[in-house]
Amino acid sequence: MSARPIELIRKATRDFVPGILHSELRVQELVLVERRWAVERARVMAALLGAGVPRPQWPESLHWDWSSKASELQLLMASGFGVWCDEDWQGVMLTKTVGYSAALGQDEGKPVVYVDFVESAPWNWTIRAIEQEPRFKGIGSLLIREAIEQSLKEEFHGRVGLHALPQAESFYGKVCGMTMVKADQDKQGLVYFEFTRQQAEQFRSAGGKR
Amino acid sequence: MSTMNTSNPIDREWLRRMADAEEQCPSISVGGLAVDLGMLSPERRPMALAAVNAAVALAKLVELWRRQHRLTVEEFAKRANLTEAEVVGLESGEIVPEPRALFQVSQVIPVSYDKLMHVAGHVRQRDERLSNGAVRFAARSESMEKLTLQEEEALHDFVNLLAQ
Repeated sequence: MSARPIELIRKATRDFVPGILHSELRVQELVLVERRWAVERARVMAALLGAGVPRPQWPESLHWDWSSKASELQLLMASGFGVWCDEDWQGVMLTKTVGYSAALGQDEGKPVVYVDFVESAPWNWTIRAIEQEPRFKGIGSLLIREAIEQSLKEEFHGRVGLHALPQAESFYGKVCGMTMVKADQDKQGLVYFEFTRQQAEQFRSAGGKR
Repeated sequence: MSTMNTSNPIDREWLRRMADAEEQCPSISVGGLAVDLGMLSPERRPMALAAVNAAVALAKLVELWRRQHRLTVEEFAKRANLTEAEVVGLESGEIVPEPRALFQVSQVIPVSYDKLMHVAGHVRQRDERLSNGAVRFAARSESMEKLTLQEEEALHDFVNLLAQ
């Protein structure tokens, strides 16, 4: 793995906390991350059940279990990134640099970095129904910024595409400032978002739509 | 072994602004890979009736057997070499368990792995007797603290049907 220093913000104190952004994460490491997070997923699930929170309000990725998909991941996984901070994995991202092309503007048809998967650790989820506050903030922003950096390195000019879960649409649309392209029937109706090169630059310099 | 690259520090003001905005959003999850691996939320992936019956029957099988043996989710998970999240997921009845989970279940509950695979629909050849047994079992069992006589009987019949 290669790595570089980053910072996260601890929610409770608003302090900056040093961390490391690892790239070249391998399937074995992702499976270890998932094992660690599975315990927390169970805790969150138990808390939601205990509080009588209706299923549609549960985090949409609560049931994900990547450890059972290791062999498939071995075939599908391209680039893996992980945020390490406070002796734990705080977030993970997988991207691909082939097979996906831009749907927007002057670069239509040109390659994009496709973000296949982004997830933060369950203890970093904001779940108001059980009064859970995130431990660390800014993980999604850091990871998406890294996808843009990868796109620049690949000479894709910052073009990035992804399919967001419904609960994450506000983050990619409103906070990051990506264009909501369409509900994609090839991805079970998930909405496809895309950064044009200009939007990517806006995100890096000023932080998307403000 | 990691190699550390110290370039491109991220501006703190940028991070603070983004993190504050991000915090207002319920999720950052991206689901392309989850779709490809069949892991999208059950709410977005309507199950066929046969699959619903299978999921409920297998959920009840695990839950009732675990309760009959006075095991917590944690204890059952440990015995079956599954995660607690997997056991909770199994017992939710909202997903058809994967073959690996069924195999682990068959190592704890004295039932046939092949028959579990049939009930779950992972085997192409359909066994009407097992399918009907699963529907009957799902219909007869309710979630309660203590197993009722009816549940005991239903569990007994279903385990016998699935046994080697």
